[in-house]
Amino acid sequence: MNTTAGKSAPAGYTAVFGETGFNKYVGPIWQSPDGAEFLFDVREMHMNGGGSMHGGMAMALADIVLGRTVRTALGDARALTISLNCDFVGPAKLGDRIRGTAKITRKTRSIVFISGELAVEGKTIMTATGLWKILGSE
Amino acid sequence: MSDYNSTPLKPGRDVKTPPGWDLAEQFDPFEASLGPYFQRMHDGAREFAFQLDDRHINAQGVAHGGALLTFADAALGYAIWEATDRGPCVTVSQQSSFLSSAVAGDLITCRPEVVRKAREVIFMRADFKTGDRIVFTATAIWRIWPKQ
Repeated sequence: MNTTAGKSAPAGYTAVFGETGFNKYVGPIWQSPDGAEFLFDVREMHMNGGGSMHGGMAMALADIVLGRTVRTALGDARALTISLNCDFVGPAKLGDRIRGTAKITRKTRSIVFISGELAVEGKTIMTATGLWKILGSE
Repeated sequence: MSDYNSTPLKPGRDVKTPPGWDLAEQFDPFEASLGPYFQRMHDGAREFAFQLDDRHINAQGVAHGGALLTFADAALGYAIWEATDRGPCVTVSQQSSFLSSAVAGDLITCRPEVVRKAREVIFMRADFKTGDRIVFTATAIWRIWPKQ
């Protein structure tokens, strides 16, 4: 189990795709049992050179939070990110616990429209909207 | 803006520099952890690249959006540094579209363009390719300050 300055996995949460690849390398990103909330602790490796979490990691988190929310909603069907727009509302600092949430705006036969945000202690640090293409819908 | 790290960091992995490219210096721990990143001058503009490996892919074996977006933020940041003589700058918005997938071993390249440099904001765009195929496109707006 990863710990960050004394913080450990929130009770009942599971790591998102934490076995291989990017999510394992930068993670863990924790998902709540009901799927509605994601938590992420900012560590040294996530920082830019100016004392804040790197913008790329914020966008990565948005992609993971929104994408995992789409996946939960689709059940068996798979989907790919085709659009992701991120606004950098405020910075995250070393040791911050970031809370990610997302909500599906609309699901059509081929596309899911979704929006979400990242926050630290109730203050929004990023807003994100995206489109996911449902595979096999053609 | 507080002091920015000015000591180049060691890339998170030893990767052979592709022919015709040079190492890009990395000052951000997160970029270094996913690096190295490469750069070259080509046809009058600076281009950037990185090689996809197991650190950058998702559970389906294709490039993870987060790894691509981190590279985009870094490449656009380098280009803005050149346009502002290394003045302070920060991303305020990025819009990305994903056109095709990439896999481990692919070299992702880009050629960032300043669309407009205003007094407090700068507008950027870039296409990110593997070979001639576009993997994703990005436009971004960054806040800039005059260099002190």
